[in-house]
Amino acid sequence: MEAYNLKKILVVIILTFNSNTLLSDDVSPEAIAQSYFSHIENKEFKNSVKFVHPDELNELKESVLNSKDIPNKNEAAESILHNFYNISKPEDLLNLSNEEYYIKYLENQNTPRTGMYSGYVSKNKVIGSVIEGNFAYVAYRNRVFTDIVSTETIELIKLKRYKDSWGTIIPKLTKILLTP
Amino acid sequence: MTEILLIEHGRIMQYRIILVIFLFIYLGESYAEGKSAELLITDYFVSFEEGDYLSIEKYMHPISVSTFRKNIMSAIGDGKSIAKEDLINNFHGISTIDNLITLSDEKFYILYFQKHIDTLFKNIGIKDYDFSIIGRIKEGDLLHFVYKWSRDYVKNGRKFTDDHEGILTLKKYNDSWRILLPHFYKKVANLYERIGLSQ
Repeated sequence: MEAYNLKKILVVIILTFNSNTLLSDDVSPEAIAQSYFSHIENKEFKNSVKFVHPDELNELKESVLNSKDIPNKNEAAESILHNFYNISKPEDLLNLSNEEYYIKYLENQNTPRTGMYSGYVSKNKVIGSVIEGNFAYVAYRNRVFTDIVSTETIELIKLKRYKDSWGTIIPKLTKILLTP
Repeated sequence: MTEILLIEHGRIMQYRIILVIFLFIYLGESYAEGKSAELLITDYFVSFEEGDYLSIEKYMHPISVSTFRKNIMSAIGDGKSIAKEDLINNFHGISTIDNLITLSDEKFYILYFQKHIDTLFKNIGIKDYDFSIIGRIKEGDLLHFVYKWSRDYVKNGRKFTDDHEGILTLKKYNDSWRILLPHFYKKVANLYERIGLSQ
């Protein structure tokens, strides 16, 4: 009888561990962040954007379209449109979907670089996470390789709950840079 | 037969007790380790909030600040594009390159850090900082602290509050935790190193 109970407990423990592993493989903040990074590293930008929180993509598009500089077509707006979205006419922004805004930015950021950053390759590896309410903070190791020197820093990406999973948040500084 | 079973049972119980004791010791030590690191981070933030930058040097990892200095100094010298005069402008209270050279590694970092923070306060109109720890992540001999900081600043005569998150990594040095260079300053040092090596 005791042996039977022990077996039952063991089965429950194994199942619990297995189900947790399956869950974390699919939707843990670490897994979501790593998938987001991996797709960017492989230049699969359309796939990487699937891991960005939809509210963020919507907010980014709205803030760009609502910018007072866009209709004025001033120099600052033109420079941002060209440098971050590879667009010459502000009107072209209207035809882009929420996702395409960020895809264009990622494409532009990942074009081959010259000078001090010649041979630039950036790799991110997730270390772990801390959860606080509806937000998760994922620590990752960023390694940048160039022809001249390689560097390594520990950085943080923030995620927000989305349905049964998580979506990455666009950093504040990036949003400022992307909005004319 | 029953006696043998009872003896075996007794042995298993002994092993279990020993295992539980070891587990408690391990958890206790790891809690104490985390707690001492957390106290250090808290003191560091208090110094920051009080504007007592000079006391921050005792929390920094010596090897980390030494690398910071080495990387920055590699970008100046004959044939390098960064002039010595431009470099000293990035340090609080430093007027000559000789002053800079005689600084300890810790002071070198702190005076750079202080100038950067002072400039931020002045340019953005920051009035106050407030830090709080969200949680920590253990990775081998490193301990990463995720924290939140909010700042009050004034823009066009109006007061705003802005929230950000950050991460600080700690590593042991002579049995005590020390803070490794925050990633912003590590990037600054890497940029100088890159400039130095590209010329």
